[in-house]
Amino acid sequence: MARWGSGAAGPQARFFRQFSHHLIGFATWLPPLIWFNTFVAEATFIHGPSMYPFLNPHYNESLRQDLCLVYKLYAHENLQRGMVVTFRSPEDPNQITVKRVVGLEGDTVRTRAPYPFEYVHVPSGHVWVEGDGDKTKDSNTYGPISARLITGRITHILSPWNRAGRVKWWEHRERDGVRREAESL
Amino acid sequence: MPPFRPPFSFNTIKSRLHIRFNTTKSSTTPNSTTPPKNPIFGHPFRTLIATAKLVAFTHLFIQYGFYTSPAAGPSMLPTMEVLGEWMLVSKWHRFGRGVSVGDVVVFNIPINDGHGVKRVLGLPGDYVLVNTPHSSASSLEEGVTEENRGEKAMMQIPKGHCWLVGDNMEASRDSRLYGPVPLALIRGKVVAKVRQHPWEFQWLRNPLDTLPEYSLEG
Repeated sequence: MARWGSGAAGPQARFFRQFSHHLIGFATWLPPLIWFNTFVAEATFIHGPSMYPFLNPHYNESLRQDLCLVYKLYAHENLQRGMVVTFRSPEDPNQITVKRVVGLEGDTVRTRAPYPFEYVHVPSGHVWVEGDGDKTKDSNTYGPISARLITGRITHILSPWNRAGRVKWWEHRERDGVRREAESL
Repeated sequence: MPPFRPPFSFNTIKSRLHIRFNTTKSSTTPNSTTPPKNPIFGHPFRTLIATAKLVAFTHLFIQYGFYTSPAAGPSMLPTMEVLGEWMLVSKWHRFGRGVSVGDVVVFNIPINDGHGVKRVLGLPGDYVLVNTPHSSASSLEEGVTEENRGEKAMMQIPKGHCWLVGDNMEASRDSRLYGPVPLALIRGKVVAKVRQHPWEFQWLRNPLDTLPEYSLEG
């Protein structure tokens, strides 16, 4: 039995046979790659000014966008205040948004401008998310979001180089007006 | 004229998947005194990679294609039994894509880590009864005032949300408890019921599809 690419056919047929051989070889690596990007980690660009000045600090000066690493494994478990998370927007399921966790379940948060009430109690299984910048559409617009919507955490900034590195969310100054659940008990 | 050969063969696919069941290769090698390797255990690294590829492909199919899962609980009686029925879930309808009122969906419960099976009663913009019909009890805590208490209270579903209620309203914790559910929490649509025997397979149809057409005007 002749092996592939060594038949009596001409060089053209042999080329196509070897080409398809390698093509199928690459194609078998696609499912593991897609799986890794969907469920473990993915590098993604950040659009828009909602996390200014933490992400995209030069959004009004250049078209360059920050490249971030999103870690997706067990993303909605053990959330902490200050973490930068990605989640599917409750208003549009096809849009993935980046915001910072401000309040966890049980917290009482003093809200900002568009929200109709001054204080809000974050219900169980929900979190209060806000952007760092002024131009942001966050929980002050659509209320506390379910933690199940969270798809990932921003763990590293990959580009630009001068800010590349780990996201130290625990060093971020905590927002005023959040009464923690533990203190209220 | 040479015989026709397709640009690829199953042998090609098998070799690229690192699966070799034919031992003809060893007979072509010059040193035929060495015994041929076991096709599975003779190549542990190759077998490991092939297994990882297959597992990734299967997981992607479960996440983006179809999956079956047992349904338990009384909340969807009489559509689904309390125990012993499985459902075939279409993941194409994840995040509420192509879902219409009357469909049964599997979704992540917004207030805990579980998942539920309920019927879609309202889509963005629709007006729904907030509470159980024929009862005066109100279950929505937030935003409940004197006007929207009681069985006639209505609300408009906000953008990107839906209203999910179980068929057995007395034994169901659903949107009447935790409010409108974001469409992004919908995992998929239940398209069929699967039981023990293959002939008990049953497509789940949207009951509103068989209604005669009517117009809201006039």
